[in-house]
Amino acid sequence: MRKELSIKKYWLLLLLVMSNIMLQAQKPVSGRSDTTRIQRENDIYPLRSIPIPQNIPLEVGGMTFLPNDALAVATRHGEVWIISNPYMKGGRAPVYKLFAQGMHEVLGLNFIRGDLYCVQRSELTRLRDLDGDGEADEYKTMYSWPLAGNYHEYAYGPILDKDGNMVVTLNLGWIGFGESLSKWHGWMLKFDKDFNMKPFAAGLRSPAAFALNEAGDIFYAENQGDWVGSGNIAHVEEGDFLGNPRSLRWSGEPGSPVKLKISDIPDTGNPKFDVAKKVPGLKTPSVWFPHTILGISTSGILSYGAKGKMGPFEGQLFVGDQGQSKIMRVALEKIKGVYQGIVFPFREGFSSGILRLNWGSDGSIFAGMTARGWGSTGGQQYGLQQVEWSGTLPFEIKTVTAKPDGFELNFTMPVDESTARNPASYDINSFTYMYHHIYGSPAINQNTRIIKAIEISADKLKVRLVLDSLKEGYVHEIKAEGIRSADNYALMHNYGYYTLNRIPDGDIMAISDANRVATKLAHEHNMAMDMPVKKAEKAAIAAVTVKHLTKQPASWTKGPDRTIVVGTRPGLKFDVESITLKAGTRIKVTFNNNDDMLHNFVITTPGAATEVGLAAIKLGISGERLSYIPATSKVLFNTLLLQPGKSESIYFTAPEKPGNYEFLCSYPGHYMVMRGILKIEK
Amino acid sequence: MKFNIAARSLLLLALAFPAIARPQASNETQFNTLASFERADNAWSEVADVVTAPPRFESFKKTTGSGIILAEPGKKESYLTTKTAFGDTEMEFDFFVGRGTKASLLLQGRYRLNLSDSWAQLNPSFNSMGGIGQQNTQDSSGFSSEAPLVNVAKAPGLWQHVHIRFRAPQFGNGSKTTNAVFEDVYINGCLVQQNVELQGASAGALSAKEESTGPITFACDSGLLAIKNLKAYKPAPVAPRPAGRRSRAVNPITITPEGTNYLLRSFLNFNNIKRTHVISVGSPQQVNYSYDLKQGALFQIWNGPFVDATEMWEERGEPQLARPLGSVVPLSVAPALAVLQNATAAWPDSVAFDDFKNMGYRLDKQRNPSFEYETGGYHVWDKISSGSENRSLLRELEVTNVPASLYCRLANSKAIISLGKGWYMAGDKSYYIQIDEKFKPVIRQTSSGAELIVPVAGNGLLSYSLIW
Repeated sequence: MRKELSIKKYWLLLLLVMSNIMLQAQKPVSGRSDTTRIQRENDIYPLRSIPIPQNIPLEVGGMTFLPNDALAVATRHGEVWIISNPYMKGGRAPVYKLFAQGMHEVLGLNFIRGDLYCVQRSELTRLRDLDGDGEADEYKTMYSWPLAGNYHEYAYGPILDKDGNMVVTLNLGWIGFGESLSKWHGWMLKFDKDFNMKPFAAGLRSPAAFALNEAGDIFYAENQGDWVGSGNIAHVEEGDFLGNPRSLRWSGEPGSPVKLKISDIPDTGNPKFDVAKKVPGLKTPSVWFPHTILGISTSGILSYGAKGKMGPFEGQLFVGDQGQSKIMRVALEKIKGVYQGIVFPFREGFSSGILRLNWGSDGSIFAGMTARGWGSTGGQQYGLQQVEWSGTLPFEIKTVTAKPDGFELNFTMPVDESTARNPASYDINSFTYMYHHIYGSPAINQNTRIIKAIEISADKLKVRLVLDSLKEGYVHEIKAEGIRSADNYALMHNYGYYTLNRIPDGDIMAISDANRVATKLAHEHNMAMDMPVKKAEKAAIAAVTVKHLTKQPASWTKGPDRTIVVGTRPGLKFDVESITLKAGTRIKVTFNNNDDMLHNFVITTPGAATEVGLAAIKLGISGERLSYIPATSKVLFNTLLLQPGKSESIYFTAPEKPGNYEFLCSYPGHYMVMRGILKIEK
Repeated sequence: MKFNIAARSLLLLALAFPAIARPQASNETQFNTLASFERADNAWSEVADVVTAPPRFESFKKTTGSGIILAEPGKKESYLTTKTAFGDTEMEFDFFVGRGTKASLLLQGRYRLNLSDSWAQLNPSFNSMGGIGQQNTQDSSGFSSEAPLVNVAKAPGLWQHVHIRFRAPQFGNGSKTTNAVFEDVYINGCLVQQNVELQGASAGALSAKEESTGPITFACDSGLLAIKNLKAYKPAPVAPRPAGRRSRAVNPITITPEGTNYLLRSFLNFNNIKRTHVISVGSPQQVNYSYDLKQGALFQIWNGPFVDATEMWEERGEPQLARPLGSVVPLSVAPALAVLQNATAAWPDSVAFDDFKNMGYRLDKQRNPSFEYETGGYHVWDKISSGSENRSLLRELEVTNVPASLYCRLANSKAIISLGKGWYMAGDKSYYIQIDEKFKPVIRQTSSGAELIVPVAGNGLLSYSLIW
């Protein structure tokens, strides 16, 4: 009965989320008629679930296709399943066969030079079926590394680099902060054909995925955390230090190509790009993924080469996300020898947390998923899904390229000239993140960029924007909500985030009467776009101070009537599911964030937790700075967003009106599961 | 069977239950000499030690003295009853049985817990060790007896441990108000009974009439029963769960090997140290062990269920620990092989991480692994499989490039006893080792006890079994 109820609750949530998305998509843009044509992800890129037998907990850690087009899947329970006919050809169900069993949390599987290789917590393993009965009977340890016994010492891989070396990455442990508790954790390692190990790069925190782009360069996906302001992908070259200094414990070991020491890394909170100028060897991300907007836990990277059939994005990268159950799309370019580029939304709505992405032989993408212990928007504990391209061309910003004076947007279809020419169709902001030992970072140094000129190419596929200035090292938020295609399509995704590591040389566009944007207009445009944001922010800040009282009121001479301590438990949960208070009593709540990620504790009016959770997501890049507390009367009391291991006490008087109030963590991705009931009784 | 027991109980009532008033036990009472007991015949004696003779475990060798109470009833059933009476009772003792021994414990002389030899039984019944005998009730359904939750009985001749918490029946106005209850019974550290309410006295009770107190009685009707360290005391009150927050209900995840062996990599706690490069192997026959892949060490063996993986697979699985579910016999995490410069050189505690190349394992058709590694310039295949004995592991080592003075250590413990014909007993009678004498095993004394070591011959082949 309880179960049924909670399932109903999730359906309701899902409906709410869906209707919200649809509302957003259908919102008419000022000055346009409502004849705008809308494309939906579901029509352009349909999703299909591959059935999983009920007795198989297919918590996908690694995935690879075999020469016979069967899909091999490694799981967090340490099994390897071989799934024949995952495409469900002929309408027939796939068949699962257990190939290997009992390995230690396998988080990577690959078919290399005729063999299956996987990575367990402590080793790189080769699996062979010596007697041909379809089950592995040789589990060969190719290389073994030490472990401290910390759960967070995950290991991933292997992939093959362009020279035929195997590549593996090792996660930092977690002891209240990320720590390299044993040798080579926080490193990328390479193995030659004889499995001689070479430490390749340091500074990794949680390198759950990595892949080669079409040029054969290695990119790895990093998750927000200590020393990582937001998720990102970075190009890894030999000797690079990617940013988390704890791995530098081992930089003095023989064979280390990294020479930096922990003491070389300043903990100032200055932007990483600026610190990197003073610390040679510190590598900054190729593309930042703004936290909670484009993922909260970047994962599987898939390069769109000859194997893919995903529409007009050849040469780009797809990057999965575990917490938000979605795939993002990255267009890279190399400027002055440095990779940079833009990340866009691509496809959301997967059933669980995406960890692995693979190309099927039909050009579809297979997404292998697990959410146990972290939760995901998709809601399921695990899953296996396939995305196909319907063949319908989506109207999207295909790429954005940097210019010395601005950006050039390349579209998949010719644009409608009047919307493309209108500066109000765009909104461009720049910001960056702090580089420090603290978990995550708010977006800092936010600034609106003013468009000075707009020029449309003759084929109407490109729009060049000249800006007042470019901020080197900064993320540039590029929104193009007002753009329509010549056929009056709205963009399926109308924003992206360009990380500008280098401003290219080249031709500066001559500004003429034909392309100039009137200064007044530009100014008004920016005022118009900025004002609501600023107002909302101010309101939010004002509200927080009342709802967030961290000192006991002087009038409480006898102290609080009741003190409540709330903690967390792993898997996005508070350690209490319900709290009962007497109406009008004086309450002190101490929230201990004993988890390994950021959380807050927010009390809402009855039935408002979902609404508050959704409003928190909409705070966008300002969210973290505002502790994800939206400015709404539905929020009654709250703590700030707390770092792992931190605690905060707030004081308030319990509402007079009895009822079932709610509490939640309003951090994006958490509110659906991390919540409870605050019962007020007379 | 049931009929037999009932018939026997009649006989018993007539012969063996003298109606004398017994003093009530006060606090902890120890019963290590026969002076504490009444006995009907001379089947019971005191000895300093008794050792059974493998492989049949039927004959045995006694050492005169005291400390162990021994029953050798021959073909006749025999009883040993305390002079003191008990109400609510918590008690524990060590015991072992001979091959095929039928023995039991009667709480208050009425409520039967079986102690019969049940070595390696896969589907235990109420007649097995840890089973609760049928009660004299009107109800003849299967619910008047209880098979043990698990069978963790050891091989004949090995010490086993029992711990019981028992509530006596209560009476008011001359009639019973509350049934007697076995609150919990642990054998060899594993819970085998939990909150078993007894409707009446067991078949074969010394007295069928229930009362609030009664003596502790041992019964043995064939084979051999040895008992030591027997103590009984008033049960400590069970602390109620702290009020306040509801504790979280977690659905446990257990692994049961079905049809074939299950091999599981995990972290494991051993001697309070978390070991990271280990594997556990469980068999459908409930012969289980753990192996340290970075030391080449077979470091614990257990019978009963395989492992609980909840701490690995529930939520994030932060401990990443597998917990053996059965009765664990700890061995050693030191390397199995070592070069000894001379006969008195100490056995090394460990091999450094980088000096030991673990190379994985191969599985045979029954999924028995052969672990492969290289260290000290030699190469090892270390195959472990179920042996020919009831519950045993056969270890077969194959070393190539055998260096001079390479030894294998089969056991180290406080004491190791040679039983002849290649049989040894290690620990406080905690397991047997069997090895062909052609391998020339040697017991050597160390500062902390004894070691059984074997030189590795030039052909590099060596095999032995562990039986428990």
